[in-house]
Parts: sequence; C-alpha cells; structure tokens
Amino acid sequence: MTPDKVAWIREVSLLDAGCFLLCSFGLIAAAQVLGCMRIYVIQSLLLTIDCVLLALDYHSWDLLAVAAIYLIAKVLLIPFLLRRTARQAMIARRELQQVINVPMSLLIALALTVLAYYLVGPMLVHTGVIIHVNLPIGFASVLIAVYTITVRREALPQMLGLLAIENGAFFAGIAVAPTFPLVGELAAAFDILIIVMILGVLSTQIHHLSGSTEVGMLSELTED
Amino acid sequence: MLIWLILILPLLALVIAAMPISIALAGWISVLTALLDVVIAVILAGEASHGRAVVAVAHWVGIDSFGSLILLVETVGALTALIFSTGFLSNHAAPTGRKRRYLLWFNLFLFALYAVPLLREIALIWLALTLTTLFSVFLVSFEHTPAALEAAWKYALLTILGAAIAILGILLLYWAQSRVGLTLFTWSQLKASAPQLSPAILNVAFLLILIGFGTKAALIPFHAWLPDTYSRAPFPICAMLSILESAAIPYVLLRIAAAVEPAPGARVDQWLILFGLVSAGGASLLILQTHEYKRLFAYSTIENAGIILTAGAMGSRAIERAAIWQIISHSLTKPLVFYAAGVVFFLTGSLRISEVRGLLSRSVWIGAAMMGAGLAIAGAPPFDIFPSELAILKAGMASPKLWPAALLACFMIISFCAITYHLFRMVLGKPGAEEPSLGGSPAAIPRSCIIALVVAALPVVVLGLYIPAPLAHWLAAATASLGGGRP
Repeated sequence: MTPDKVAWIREVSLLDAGCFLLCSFGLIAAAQVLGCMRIYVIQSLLLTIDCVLLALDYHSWDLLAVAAIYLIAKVLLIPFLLRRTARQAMIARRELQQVINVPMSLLIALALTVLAYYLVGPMLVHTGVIIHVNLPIGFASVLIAVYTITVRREALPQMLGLLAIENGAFFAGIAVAPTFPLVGELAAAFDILIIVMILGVLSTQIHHLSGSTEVGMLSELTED
Repeated sequence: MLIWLILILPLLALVIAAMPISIALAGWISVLTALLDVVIAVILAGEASHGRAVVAVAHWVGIDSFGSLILLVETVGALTALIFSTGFLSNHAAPTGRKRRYLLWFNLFLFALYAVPLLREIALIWLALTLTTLFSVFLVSFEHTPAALEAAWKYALLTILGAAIAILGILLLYWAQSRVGLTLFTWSQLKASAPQLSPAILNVAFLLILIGFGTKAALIPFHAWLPDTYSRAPFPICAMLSILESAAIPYVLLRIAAAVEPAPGARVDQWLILFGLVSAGGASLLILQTHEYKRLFAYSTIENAGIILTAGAMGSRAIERAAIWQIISHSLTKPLVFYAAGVVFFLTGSLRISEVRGLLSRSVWIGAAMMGAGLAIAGAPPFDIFPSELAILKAGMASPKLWPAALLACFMIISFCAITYHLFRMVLGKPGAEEPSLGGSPAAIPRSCIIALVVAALPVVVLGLYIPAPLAHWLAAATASLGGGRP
C-alpha cells in the first residue's frame, strides 16, 4: 500500500473514532427509546467500518471476518430481535426518565473521557498510532456506557447501555488485539444475541406484570 | 470421551424434559443424568490426579486436577439441587409449562457451568461464565412476581455488566500476551508468556477482569444485585449460584493470577488480597446486621469467596492447597444450608429471622437440621469447613504475609459469632404467640427435599471427620497444577 493510502485510511479511522465517541454521548442524551436504539445501531456500524479500515491497515483477513460478524450480529440482528421481543416498549413515544439531567450527565461523560485518557496513558508506550486513538476512546465509551446504565431508570435503555459497553470494549479490542482468536469474537457475538433475547423477554414480562418497564435500581437493597 | 459425556448429559436431560412427559418423571431423569455426571467427574478426577491433564481437544478442551475438583463439586451440588428441585416443583402451584421451563433452564445452566473447568481457551471460558448468568435469569425469576422479575433484571443487568468489563480486561490480557508472540489464548500459553508480559497492561487487564468477574461473584463493593436475587430465587438456585460464585469464579481468577504471577511488576496478588479481604470483612459485617436468613447465607458465600481469593493469593504452596480445600468444603456445605433453609421456609412460610422462632419446639428434625447446617457453614467442628479454615489460618501464619492471615482470622470469628447468634435465635427459644403457623406442618415437606438434605449432609460430616487418602492426593495434585514454581 502506498503511504498516501495509509495516511488516508488513518484519517478516516480517526474521524470514525470521533463519531464513535460522539455516539456514546448521544446514548446519554437521547430522549426516547427508539432514538437510543438508532444511536446504538449507528455506533455498531461505526465499529464495523473501523474494523474494515483496520483490516486494510493491518492486512488482516481475520479482521474482515470480524467486521462481517459485527455487521450481521450488531447492525442487523440486534435491532430485529429487539423489535420482536420488546416491541411495545420500543415504539412508546415517551420521554425517558433519568436520575441526573442531560446537561449534567454530558459534563460527567466529558470528565469520564478525560479520565479514560489518563488511565490508558501508561499503556501507550511503544504502540502504533491506531492504538493511540482506539484504546482511549474504547475505554471512554465503556465508562460512559456504565454511567448511562446507572442513570437510566428503564429496562431497554439499560440494556442498550450494556450493549454499548461491549461495543466500547471491542472498539479498543480490534486495535490492540487484531489477532484475537476468531472464536472469541464469535463467542462475544453469540453472547450478545442471547443477551438481547433473554433481556428482551424479561423486560416484556416486567412490562406485562407491572405496567411499566421502570426498574427501580437499588430500591430493595437496604435491610429494613 | 468422558469429557464430552459430561457436557452431553445435561443436554440429554434437557431434551427429555422438553418432551410431553410428567414433570416429576422429567425431574427424576435429570437427577439420574446428574448422578451419572458425578460418577464421570469422580473418574476424571482420578485420571487427572496423576499430574497429566485429560485432553479431549488439544489446546481447547481438557481438564487437569484443579479443574476436575471444581467439576466434581459442581456435579455434586447439581445432583442434590435437582433432587431438591423435584420436591420443590411438586409442591409449587406454578403452571406445568413454567415448571418444565425450570428444568430446561436448569440443565442449560449446568451445561454452561460444567464447561467452565473443561475449557482451556480463556475467551471461551468467559463465554461459558456469561452463559451461566443468562441461563439462570429465568430460574431466578421463577416465582414470576414483580419482585422476582425485578430481582432477575438486576441480577442479569449487573452480572452482564461485569462480563462486559471482563471482556475488555481479557482483550487487554491477550494484547499483552500477543506482544510476546504467542497467539493461542490458553492457560499454558499465557503461563509461558508470563515472564515477558508488560506490567502496565497486565495490571490494568487483571484489574478489569477482577472487577468484571468479581461483579459476578458479588465481591464487595460489586454485590448490589445479591440481596434481592437471593431473596427471590428458589432455594436450589441459591445453592447453585453459591457454587458458581465460590467455586467456578475463584477457579478462573486464581488460574489467571497463577499463570501471570511470574511477570515482573505484576500486582495481581495484591489486588486479589485487597478485594478478598474487603469482601470477607464486609460480608461478615453484613451477616451481623441482616434480617433474612436467606440473605444471611448469601452474604456468607461472599465471605467465603473473599477468604478463598485472599488465601489463594498469599503465595505459598500450603496456603494454596488450603484455599482449594476451602473451595471444596464450602461448595459442599453451602447447598446443604440452603436446603435446610428451604425446609424451614416450607414449615414457617417466612424468610425473616425474627419471624422464625423456636424451630426446635415445632419440629425436632427440622430444628436439628437447620442447627447442624448452620453450624457447618459457620465453621464449627466437626464439619468440613472447620479443618479447611484452620488449614488456611495455619498456613497463613507460617507464610510471609502475616497481616492478611490475621485479618482473615478476625473476619472468620466475626462471621462465626454472627451466624451462630442468628441461628440460635431461629432454632431455640419459644415460637412467638403472635405468629401462629404461617406455613405447613412437617408432614407437608416433600420427601425428595429430605433426601437432598441427607445426601448433601453426608460429605459435609464425613470430610469434617477425616480426609480420605485419594482426596488428599487430589488436593496435592490440584495445588501442583495451579501453582507455578512456588515453594
């Protein structure tokens, strides 16, 4: 590959990484379930594109296969399964409740991003430019998604937060471990599909039994 | 061949349970397959104890002596839990479809649980551990009340959150390993690459794995899901979750720690000791202030997981052996306690300690069973946790790390006092006049629940009195297969 092409690939992947992080912020700010899911799908698509770019950069057929796995599992199957198992909650046009308001949450997410850069700093010695971009952004996305889960009150946004953590982990993963055994990637894809099915069914059951998908985290924790 | 049979049997039971036969028959067929699994696990443990792993597929599927001991306690726990389940299901008013699904999910759960010690590839072990969560979600929500569903949601959400954090750690660990040039992600290759691992990556990776799997094992402070889940889940499920938390997950964590321990600058032992001590100490205090006996025993599981992780990381061969012994004795005792608690619940209909008074005067047998099981889990002689905890303390005092051993001793004493305090309140005393018989009579307790209690009690009593020679040999072999070049 010519140096020109390499530089081009790196610049596009940089842009992709920026958009990926933006999606993590979007998951916090989205006001409706459908919006959350769209942002998740866009983020998964960005992950897939990054994977293809990395495959070109690293000359790795494995990563192309991984990109195909992501495309099928995350971009196509998950939205399909979610619509099937939790249709009612998905199309409900309501404002989502949040423990901490959106502007404050976005500020916290920003702080978490800075924290992520600080945390991965020591690991970045003698590493390539791609790892310098992907690793902190993957870490930041994981932290932000964990935060999203703790502030969201309802089942489906929490579940999408879970899936976003996995996206963040693998965004870092494809850069640092491009030779990660394909079976591991398959395992993860298989795993998230089962997560979506089981949690989808469970949230529907909660919806039927209690009339809302609000799950009051930590409500019964205290010993009365 | 035998290794495959271990995994095939639960699936076979699952297929049979899916057929339109009566629930009782399906339940007993599951018990039968679980019994066969125990027999196979014993044979595998015997074969693996010669220091050579039994391999089914090179690098991918196989079992060594440490794994075989874990497999053995898993199968024994599954056997008694299934026996108890048949009685529990026959007594329960749930519709037949839900009872059938209980058996299906239970067998799927066993499949994933057995896979953990059988797999050698770390990414696949992660998958197996995550599947144990997913397959047990509907077991936790079996009662199908809003509270049970919410408990199941919390359980699933937080433990999957842990799994997602663990996969980030596993990817980083693989990164560290692949930089050395070894690309197969197995126990042996991880161990081979250990001396050259980058400490900066390794420490972060291990911390993430510890937090991730620690969430699944409900280590403090990641135990937010535990009180609700244990309150709502059926008793046999509590028993199986306890085995998962105090045997399967410590197995994986100790394995990873032992494999990467030769790395220069690795701080994995310190992390394990820190989290282990916080969990053991925090849980012993939680035991003190709890109001429900089911939660009491759940906290005691955390305490034991903490003890095991601390002891496993303290660095001498003797204390590693004691930690493995503790895994075995706790995983044999904890199901017994949950079965005794289940029988008490059948009798009284209440989970609150303050509402269960004077068990002994209501039914001598049930009172005695609860007393015996409670004392066994508290660590009193002549039951099997007593010698294993003693071994941990003895080896700890002889090891260079004296202060963790001293703290462990304190926590063990606190939890012993706390458990016996609650236990005496429940078993002795007079039944309160204001709460007449909430539940049934002793006669209403299904016979299979009593059988489960007796079968689970046998090893607890026997191993408390003496350690048979083969078991001592297995323990030594397991310690050898775990430890690197430790003294």
